[in-house]
Formats: sequence, structure tokens, C-alpha cells
Amino acid sequence: KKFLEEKPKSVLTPGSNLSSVKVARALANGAYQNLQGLLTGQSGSYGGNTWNLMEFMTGKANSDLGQTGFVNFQTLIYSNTSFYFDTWWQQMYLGVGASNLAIETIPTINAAGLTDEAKNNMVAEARTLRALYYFYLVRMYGAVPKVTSVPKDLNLQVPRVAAKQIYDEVIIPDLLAAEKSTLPWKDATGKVSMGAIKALLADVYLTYAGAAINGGPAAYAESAKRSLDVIQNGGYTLFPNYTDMINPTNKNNGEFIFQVQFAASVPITNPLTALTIPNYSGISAYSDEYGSVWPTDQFIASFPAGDKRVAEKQFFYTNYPSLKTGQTVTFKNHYIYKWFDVNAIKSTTKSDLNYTIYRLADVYLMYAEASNRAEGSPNANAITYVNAIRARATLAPIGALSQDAFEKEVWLERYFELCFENKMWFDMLRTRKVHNDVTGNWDNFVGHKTVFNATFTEKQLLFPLPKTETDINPKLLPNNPGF
Amino acid sequence: KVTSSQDNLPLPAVSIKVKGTAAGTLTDANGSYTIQLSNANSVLVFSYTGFATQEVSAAGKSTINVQLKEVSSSLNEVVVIGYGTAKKSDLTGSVTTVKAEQLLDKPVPNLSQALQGKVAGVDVSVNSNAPGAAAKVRIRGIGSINSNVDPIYVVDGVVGVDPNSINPNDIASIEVLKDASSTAIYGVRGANGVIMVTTKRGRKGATTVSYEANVNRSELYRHVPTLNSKEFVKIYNESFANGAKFDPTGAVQTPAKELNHTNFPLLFDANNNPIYDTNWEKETYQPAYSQSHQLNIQGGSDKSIYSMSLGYLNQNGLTPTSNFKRYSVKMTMDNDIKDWLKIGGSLNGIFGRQRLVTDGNGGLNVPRAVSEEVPIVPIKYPDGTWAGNYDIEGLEGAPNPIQTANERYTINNTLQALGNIYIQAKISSELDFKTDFGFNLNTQKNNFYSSAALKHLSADQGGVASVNTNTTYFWQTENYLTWNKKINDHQRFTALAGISFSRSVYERANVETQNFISDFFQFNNLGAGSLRSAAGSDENPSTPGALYPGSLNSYYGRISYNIDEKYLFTATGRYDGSSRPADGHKFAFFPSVGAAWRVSQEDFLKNSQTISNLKVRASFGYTGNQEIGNYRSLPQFSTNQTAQNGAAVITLLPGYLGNPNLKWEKTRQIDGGIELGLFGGRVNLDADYYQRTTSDILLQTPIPFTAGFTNANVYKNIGSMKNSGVELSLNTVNIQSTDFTWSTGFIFAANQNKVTKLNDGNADIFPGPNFLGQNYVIRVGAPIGSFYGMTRLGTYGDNPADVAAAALHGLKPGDRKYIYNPDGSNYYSIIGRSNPKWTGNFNSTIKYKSWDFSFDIRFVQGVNTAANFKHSVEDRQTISNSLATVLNGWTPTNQNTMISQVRNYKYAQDSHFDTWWVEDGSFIRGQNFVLGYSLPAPTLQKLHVSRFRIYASVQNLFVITDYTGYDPEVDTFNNSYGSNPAFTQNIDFFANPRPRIWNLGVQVGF
Repeated sequence: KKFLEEKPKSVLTPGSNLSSVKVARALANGAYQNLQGLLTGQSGSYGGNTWNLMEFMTGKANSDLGQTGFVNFQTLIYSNTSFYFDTWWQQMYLGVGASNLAIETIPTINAAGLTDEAKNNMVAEARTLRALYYFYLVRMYGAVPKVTSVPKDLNLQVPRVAAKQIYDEVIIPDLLAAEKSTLPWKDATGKVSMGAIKALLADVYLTYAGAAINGGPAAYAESAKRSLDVIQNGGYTLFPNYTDMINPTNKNNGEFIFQVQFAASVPITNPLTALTIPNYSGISAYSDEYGSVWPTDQFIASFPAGDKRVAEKQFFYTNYPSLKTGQTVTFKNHYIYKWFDVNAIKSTTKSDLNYTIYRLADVYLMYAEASNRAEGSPNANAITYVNAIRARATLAPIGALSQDAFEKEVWLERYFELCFENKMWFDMLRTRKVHNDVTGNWDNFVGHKTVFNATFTEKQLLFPLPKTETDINPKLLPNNPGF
Repeated sequence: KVTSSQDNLPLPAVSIKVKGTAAGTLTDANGSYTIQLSNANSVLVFSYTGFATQEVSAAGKSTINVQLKEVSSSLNEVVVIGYGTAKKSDLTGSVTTVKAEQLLDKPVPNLSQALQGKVAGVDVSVNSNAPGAAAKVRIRGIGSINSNVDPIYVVDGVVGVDPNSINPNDIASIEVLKDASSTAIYGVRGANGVIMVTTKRGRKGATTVSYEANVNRSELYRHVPTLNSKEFVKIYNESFANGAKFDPTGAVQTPAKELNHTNFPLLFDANNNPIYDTNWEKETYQPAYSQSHQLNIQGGSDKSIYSMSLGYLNQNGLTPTSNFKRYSVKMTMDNDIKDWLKIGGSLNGIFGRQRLVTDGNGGLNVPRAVSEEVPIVPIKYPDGTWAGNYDIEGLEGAPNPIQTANERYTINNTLQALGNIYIQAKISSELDFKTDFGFNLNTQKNNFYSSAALKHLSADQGGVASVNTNTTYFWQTENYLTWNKKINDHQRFTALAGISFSRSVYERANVETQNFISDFFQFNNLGAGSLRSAAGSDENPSTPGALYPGSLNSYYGRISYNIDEKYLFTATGRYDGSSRPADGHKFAFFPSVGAAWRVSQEDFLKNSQTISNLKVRASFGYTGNQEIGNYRSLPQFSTNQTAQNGAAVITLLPGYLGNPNLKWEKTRQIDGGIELGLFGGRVNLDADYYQRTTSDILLQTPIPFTAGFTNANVYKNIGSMKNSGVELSLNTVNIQSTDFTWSTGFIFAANQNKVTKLNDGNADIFPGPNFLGQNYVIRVGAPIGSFYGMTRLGTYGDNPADVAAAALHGLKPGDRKYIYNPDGSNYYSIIGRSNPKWTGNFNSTIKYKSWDFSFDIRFVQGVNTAANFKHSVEDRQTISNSLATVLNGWTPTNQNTMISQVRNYKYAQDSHFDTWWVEDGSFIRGQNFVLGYSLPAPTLQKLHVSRFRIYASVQNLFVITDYTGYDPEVDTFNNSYGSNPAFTQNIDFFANPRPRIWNLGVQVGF
């Protein structure tokens, strides 16, 4: 009967008329929605965002706050109900879901002005993002459910498949397909570019070659091929000054290859600005100054003498004028300066800074590491790129090094250059090595003792699947070792 | 003159007929009448609803004063049932009537609160004590999970009205339909019981005017002690000192700043003693005064009757600035146009304005700040600026509760037009046709503002204003034929057949603005903020507006068959169609049958002096439930926004999975009852046993996040459950004499709920909320609303065995000790129930001459209440104030305690939802005590008033309970924290305390 028919007027359904360029774009944009999940707030926490977890795990971060769950990670006594595991899981799979919707719906849209090429490129964006979400998932949780289409029925208890299978069947094919698109090398609006696709593929192959999958030497070569392509053809350049990275006018430019987009005027704003201000230091207009994550003294001390990156107000700061009195407040620790947005801090409380997923310095170091492994020794390019990073830090260039010494040098540069950008924990898992800030040695991952006297074990290699999810889908059990 | 035999008060509008003729008249407001008799030997017949009809011979008399006797048994009472009325004695189902005077014995803002303790099997929980707040009403347990579990309200025939918006003083009576025989006629809306509300209408005869007013004072009568200044400083310092024990390798253990004069010259004197010792409970919960005024006019002529009423309520809450005002106006009109044609209608206009200052559960709201604000800060500093936790580094910085109450609030404006128009035609002497058009237009406009001065709430946003409007347009048309047929002297029947259509359209629009140049504008000029409709706020996550239409189309019928007034049979059926289920599942049929045997009409009892009434009845039938919101069967996209190129762009996301198999929830109910009246109706006992089996239960089931939908729930039909129980209601008139009467009433209800089947192999379902662990489990064999958590045994001591046991879990002496699984993982089990085993109510009324005294005591037993607030104020020293219980925390000399050793919050161990929080929530409450005085009749006559009563009453005089929070009858989560708002009863995360209310009232009739 007509009287009882449901014809929704306020929500689109799969049966709605979707033939419009803007609908196609909105679907592609949907795949970006959960990039903000990399920094999203943890429910039940105060000052705890997903980003915190990856820094807490390294043993090189401390926190001013208790309600970040920091102590659980400091002591490494955490469980499947601890903070962050549920939110990472949720956010990454929401990203997968949105990407799936875009990938399967965009090709079906026919609209005036919507070319096949435009559709292909939008699908390429979504496939790149799906690969990125899965890349986070497999590195964090290992074997995870493979979901590559939007579910149509209630059969939702999907079992896990091995991480290698996710790489082989989803991540790598998605990126190889995206690589074939005609997306430009750079995109100043912040969308996926060829530079982003190749940088991600370089990272994926490098990780695939690493300890978790042991994908073999060919993967190093594939990785090096992509990173070199980005370096040589992408048109990206290192910023001369570190503080160029905290100037909002440089968003999506210069060194930046792919970033999570924020905008003060929207305001979808970067939470890290307030999160990294020392707790209750009174230097900002924010009513919440969290001091949620800051570097241990030992990590700061591990930088070489004269490294510009630990100089005041480069990557870190130790004092700042009080907003009220103008008098300098000196902090008891180093705090992170990488998301210090002056406008937000002084007046607007709305940070305009993007959060970087890939920048050229990272790709330089990926190339150096991958080519060194693929070719058995560092080539001239690799050495040049490492020295470019060192030069910016006002460190002397390196000369010829053995394969092993060069690799350690690259790893260490990654620690210093990319610190607190959520890279270090994945490096530790990939290399199964941890730089000991006290001894200066490279410890094996399993057995490494943090400065908090906690020891990494096999249990640290994978995060537990969150209990909220295994309660609903018992097919995910058994949980990862140790949980 | 006609008066009542009971209180000698005049009876207006008594019908006086001359026997055997059509002549007759009515008494006026003073009970007086005059009648011209053509025959001096006529016999006058006096009849009046609720009173025994009397015949008096007029022979030789010029003045006939008559005292009518009230019919003490309710056998002849006419009760309202679905699509009609019936004599109570003719019913085969379980129907309970509550009259206005019983309903309004205490000042309450709405019907749901008034219903508490009135009807066996109707469990009413007043969970919020915010002014104007509605109560939760459950009939015969919880029959569903996620579909609505509220009964449906039928106000003068308009189905589905929110009963809490109407003025309770406009209600004449309510009928509660409980069993399938009486509810099945409402088909898909009948599963949770039906509450028929009949409002006051006109009456024939002289116009009567009544005025009622009351003023009352609310005050705090239970306390939840927190630390005073001295204790706070002591615990604060101890906690930091203990930090080293719990984290020897950690960073600095000392506070951000020591609590002393140097660091806090405004808070500590030169000797480092706190200057202030603020008792936030006392400062916040100040006595509040409320008042209400009601004016009612009823009148009419022979052909046409009317009523008018005006109501005003101004209720103030204990929480500062919280307030509820309601203005209502109502008119009714009923006209006999022709012998065979009657038309009439009613129109009700209501405006309500509620000022709410306790938004959200879990936020830094006023009740939470009362417990968490530290005592060492004042309300304001001497220079007039607000003080708060934020003045002390390292504390969770909620503004103080008084500042928040003044600067963060929601004004809920309700505007409602409700009414109907009907035409009733007598087609023949046996056949009636009625058509009724009803409507309910309801607009709620919620204006919110939170000041730019409120740190941690809205300072960073530069002030937040929002306006949300929710509008419902509802119309219905009911059309039915009633055939009253007397077959012969032994048999008669009533048959009913009808058809109805109804449609409800719900629209909402939410707008929000932030960043104002001044707090001046509040929500009155949203253009004065720089940031419009901010994305991703809590209030409107992604959809600022929406439209949801829903429709019903139904066919229904009933046959009631009566043999010799002894054997009664009823069959009903409704064929209901709704837009909500999936295609192919839209229509369903809901039949019921009922039978009753009036044993007392049998010859062997007819003349019994003892048994005046005995009826046994039984019924069986089906009802349905579909209250799950619209579009729940359809897959949907959702929209949101993200940033791109420095601007917002719209995103399209997989929003909701949909369920193409979504269908009705079905409830099968069996009911057996007995009604017994003894000693001429002095003792009345009603008893019922029922079984309600709900199958295809609708649940908003959490789905795996791997599915990728932004709404991680889907509505499914997930299983079955059973409610069974008994209801008893015993009313006795213990003493009845001219000057003195004493009556008592006792009701008792016990309901047992059991989940009998769950899909997916009976796997447990965790419906949420998830507050430091899942708080509820749905498990086969267990009742719905089972609390689920860990078991706290106490704390670990410092003996070697305990030290070793603690170390297995990374814990130390002084940490909480739980039960663990053999493999060391956390052990969870059912640790309580949120629905009571039984409830009861005892009331008694004593009348002596002009005085009346009554009281009402309520029992709720066998239930738990979860004091979730303990997490926040028992386990988090050094970031807020704590409960005084932390003074009993573990120390080397106090090891036998449930409360862990205090430590600075950074090193606090995990809190869990556990047996220490889930407390005994049973209680006995002194609901209401009333003492009244009515002016005697002679005085009334002198004053030319028909009634004058003054009374004083007290509500919540006492509560006997072991619960440590403000009140065990509570639900702070109903703002849908967690995934499933149905599962929030008896969880307490900082509630508004329940007030004791002292009340003075007056009732005058002219």
C-alpha cells in the first residue's frame, strides 16, 4: 500500500538517484573522513588521542596526565579493554568502509561532465586510502578481517586472515592500481597525489620486507623504486627550516607529500596543538593545556651534540612566555614543538596545522634504507639523501659506511627526524630493533628494557583486538598472543 | 435537595426523572432542584453516576431531600476501554481505573509521576529530579529491549500522545489496560500496555467553578559526604606521597604545585591553612519554592455541555536556576444536535518552559561538580570573580557548580496543540457510528547556551549557542460502528468494527554557533557568533536536520457476549499495517480472546451476605511492538564533512546497514484473574497472574566495526523473553461510620523476567552502556537488565601471599583485589539486577468529621543500583574532590577495606564496573503524607461555596535504603550514553538529588 511506503527524504539510500559529479566527489571525500582517526579522541579519556598510543608504546614518551592511560603503557600492563585499541580499530575500519563505498559506487555513477578518467582517479584516491587504513591495521593487529565491499546483509562475523594475505590481496593491489591513475604528482588541496601513492607504496614494501612479513629482498627493491621516483619526479623539496613545518601557509607544499587536512575556519582543527602544550603552563589561550605526550630526558639526551633538532624551539621547547603575565615560564621537561601553532596558542584556540603522514625527509630515509638492503650497500644517492637530512640538523655529513652501519645510521635519523610523528613504533616493529637511549646500542626488540624498567616481550608485537569487537564477533578469537 | 450520604455534601447534576414519564430535571450546584409534578403520586427516580439509584414517592410531600448512597463496589462503574466504554462488571480483561482525586494527591508536574504507586503492575520510576521531568512507566515488566518499552497513551481517543506534556489537573480518570483481552484492540501499539486518559468534560446543570492551588518547598534530605578542606589537603598530600610506591621508576611524584600560601595566596593563609571550606552540596542545593494554580469551569444545558480550564505551574528545582513553568488551557464541547446526532470536540493548548542545567551524562555538569569541586576554593573570590578547580594546576578543571548553573543551560520550550473533533450518529436504536479526527501538533524548541567564561566547557569555543527544534505533526482518523444487541432476556452482545489511518511526521533542525564577541547574545542572535553550525559537536554529530514520516493503517473489531450477566466472552482482533517494518512484513494480525464467570451472580451466591462480588476471568492474545524509529529496515548513506583545501567538504559514508527482514515484535499474553468483593464491597481484592512472552524482540544490536558503518548498530529481531508475575490489590474500608471512616489500600506486584532465546546460538549480547566495562549483559536464562562486571573482594594486604597474588596482575598491597579467571584474565559475571523482584504500595486514609489524613508508603525490593559515580570520586584522588569514603582507604594499619590506597591520579590503577559499585538499591519510601480539613456544610452555605478544603502534605518524608548515593531510584544515562539507551535504569553517574517537598494547598468549589 502506498500509504505505508517509506520514502526517505532526509537520507540517501542506495536506491536514491546518485547521478551527479558532486555525489561522486562526496563519496571520494568520504574515504578521507577517517584520516582524522589518526588523531581522534579516546572515549573515557582526558588528553588521550589515538596518536598518543603509538608514542606511549616506544618507551620514549611521558605524559603529564593520568587519564591518558599512560601508566598502562609505561608499565606495559595493558589489556584488550585498555584505551586506544578500540578507537584505532574502529576508526581504521570506518575508513575502510567509506573507501569501499566509494570504490564500488563511483564507477556506477553516470553524470554529465563526469569523465571515466575522473572516475578512475577518484577510485584511485579511495583505493590508496583503503590501503593506508589496512596498512595501519595489519601493523597494529596482524591478522585482521578482510572487508573489501560494503556489507549488504547481516552476515557480519568476518574471520581474520593473515596479515600477508591483506598485503597481497588488498594493500599492494590497491596501490598498484592507483599507481596507474593519472593523478598529478602533487595536490595542493590535500588530496591523494601520485607522490602520496608512491610514498605509501614505498613504505608498504619496506614494511613487507621487514620482520613481520619477511617479504624478501625483492620488496626492498620495489620500495626503493617508488621512493626514488618520488624524490626525482615528485617536485618536493626539503624546507630550509624546521619551523617552516609549523607555518600554516606551507600546508600541502614544499616537503609535505600527504597530510591529514585541518582548517581553523571550519573548524576541523588539529588536536595535537593543545595536546602537546605543557599541562597548565598558562602559555596559551586554551583552557585545556594537556602535556599529554612529551619526550623522556633520555631520548633528548640521545641526540648527537649540536643537532639543531633538539635546539630550543625546533622540534622541542622548554620555555615560553605566560599568556597572562608575559613572564617566561620554564618547563620541567622538554615539550614537543612540532604542532605549535602560534595563532591558535595566542588567541584563536583553533589550530590550522595539518598532520603529516608522509614528507620528503621520510621518503629520503626510506630510500636510503631500502636501496641499501636491495643493493647490499649504500649508493651515492642514499648517502646524499641522508646527508641532506643531517645538513639541515647542522650535523657533519657521513662518508662511506658498511651496509650495517649505514642502516643503523638511517634508523637513527628516522628516530630523530620523525620523532613523535607516529613512525617510531612501526620502525621498531619492522626492524625488531630498538635504539637504547642509555647505552646507545641497538637492542633486540624482545628483551629491550625501557627507561621505565618495563621489558618488551612477544606480547608487544601485536596489539590486542578490542574486547568490544570480539564480544560482537567471537570469530575473531583467539586474540593475539598474551591477551 | 440531594446530598451524598457519605459526607453530606450537595450533589450537583443529579438526574431526577418522574417514573414512567419523560419529565425530569437536574440538581444545581448546591444540590437543589425543583420539579413540577402533574401527578401528586408520582415516584421520583434519582440517579447519579457512582451512586445507587433511589426511588422516592412524592405523595404528600412538597420537599423531598434525598441522601444518595455511593456504590461502594465499583461494579456499575463505567470504564473507558479501547474504542468505547463498558461496565466494569462486563469486562473480561484486566483494567484498573484511577480517579483524578487519587492521582492528584500530591503536587507533581505530570501524569507519569502521578501514576507512581497507584496500580499494581505499573512500575513507575521517577529517575530525574529536574523540574518537569517525566518518569519511566513500565507495565508488567520490560517486554522489549530496544523497541519502546513505554505503554501507549490514549488521551480522549488520540493515540500516542506524550502524557507528560498535558496538565495532570485536566485529567478526570485514567484506565490502565494490562492484559491482551483489553490491549489487543491497539494491536501493534499494545504490547507494553495501554493507558487511557479521560480528561474533564462539561456536565449538565448549573455551572460549577473550582479553584485549586498549592505552594511548596523542596529541600535536600539526603547527603553524599565529600571531603572538607582539611581532609582534602591531607588526602591530596598523602596521594602524591604514595605515588612513588605505585610507580617507583616514574617521573616526578610531587604535584604540579604544592598546596600552600606561596603558590596559592588566595586560597591559603600565611600558616598554609586553607582559607575556605566550601560545602558544595549545601551551597548548591538550596531550598526551592514552587506553586501551582488551577481553575476549572464545568457547565451545560440539556443539549450541550462544556468545560474550560486554565492551569499554571511554576516548579523550581533544588539545583540553582532549574525551573519548569507550564501554562495550559483546555476547552471541551459536546452537543446533542438531534436525537440521533451528537458532535463535540476538545482543544488543548499547552506551553511549557523548562530550564535545565544538567545536560549530558558524564560531562562536567552541575551534579558532578557538586561532588568533584574541591572545598578549598570559594564560590567567588572577594573581587567577585568565580573560583573553581581550574585555579589549581593539575586538577580536573570543572567550573564550580553554581557558576555552571548560571552560565550553561538549556531552555526547553514545548508548544502543543492537542485535540479532536467527533461526530456520533445513532443509525438505529442498536447501531452507533462514530468518526473521530484527532490531532497532536507538538513543537519542542531547545535553546542552549554555554558561556565563553566556562573553562573546559565552552571557553575554547568562545561560547556555544544552539537551537534545536523538534516538531511532530500527528493526525489520526478513527471510524467505527458499535452494535448493541439484546438477543433475548438472557443474551446480549456488543460488536464493534472500525478502520483507522494515522500519520506522524517528525522534523528537526539543529543549528549551532560558536565564538561570540560577548555572552550578551546567548542563543538569541546566532548571527553574532563567528562560527556557524560547527561540525562534529556532541549535540549534532552529523545531521543538523531531518524529516521522518511514519504511517499506520489498521482494521479492528470486537465482540463482547453476555449470557445471563454470568458468562462473559470477548474476542478482539486488529489487522495492523505500519510503514516501519521491512517490505513484506508490514501487516500483521493481533487477536485476543477473554472470558469471565461472575460466580456471585449464580444462585448459590446471589444472596450471600459475605460475598458481594466474585468474578474469575482469563484471557489470551497477541499484541505487537514497532516503536523503533523510521527507516530502520533501509540501508542508508550518512553525510558528514571533512576539511579539504582549507574549507569544509561534504562526505558520503556508509551510514546504516539496514535490515530487509525487520519485522514486528510479537507479544503473547496469558492472564488469569479473580475479583472478590466482601461485606457489601467493604473489602475488594483483585488478583492477576500473567505470562507475557515476547518473540522476535527488536534490539539495536551492535555490529562489528569491521562492517564499516558509521552507525555501528542495526535493528534486528534477536530472540525471545518472558515476563511472568502476579499482581494483587486489596482495598478495605475498615471502619465506616458517620463521623469516622478508615480505609486502606495495598498493592503488590512481582515480575519475573527471563531471556529465553537469543539468535546466533544464544551468545551473550552486550547492549551497553560501556562505562569502564560492559555494564549489562543479555544472557539466556537471566533477566533483562542484568548488571555485568567484576567482583571486588577487597584490597591486597602486605602479607607475602597477597603480595605475590597482587604481583601476578601488576598490582601492589593497597590495590583493589578482584576475582580473576584461572588464566589470570578478568572475570566477569552477572552481579546484580536493575529491575526489582517486587514492588508494593501501602496507603491508608482516615476521615474524622471535617478532617482527613492519608499516607502512602512505597516498597521497591530486590533490586540493585550501580553507583558509577564512585569511579570518579573514589578512585581519582588529586584531580578532584573525593567522597569521604576515601578516608577509609587502605593503609598499612587499615588493610581490611574495600577502598584502595590513595595515590596521585597518574598512577591510579584501572577502575572496573564491579560489585562495589553495584549496591543494594532496595528501598522503602514515605511517598506522601497528607492532612486536610474541609469546611463543614453549614459554613459552606453561609459562604456560598460548595467546597473548601485546605491541606498540608509532605512528599518523600523518608527513604529507608542501604544505597549510598542520593537516591536508589535513578537513571542518569537517559541521554543515551553508550549504544543502547534502554539499558540505563539504576545507573547513577551523578544525579540531581531527590527533594523532600513540604506542601500547602487549597481546593475551593463554587
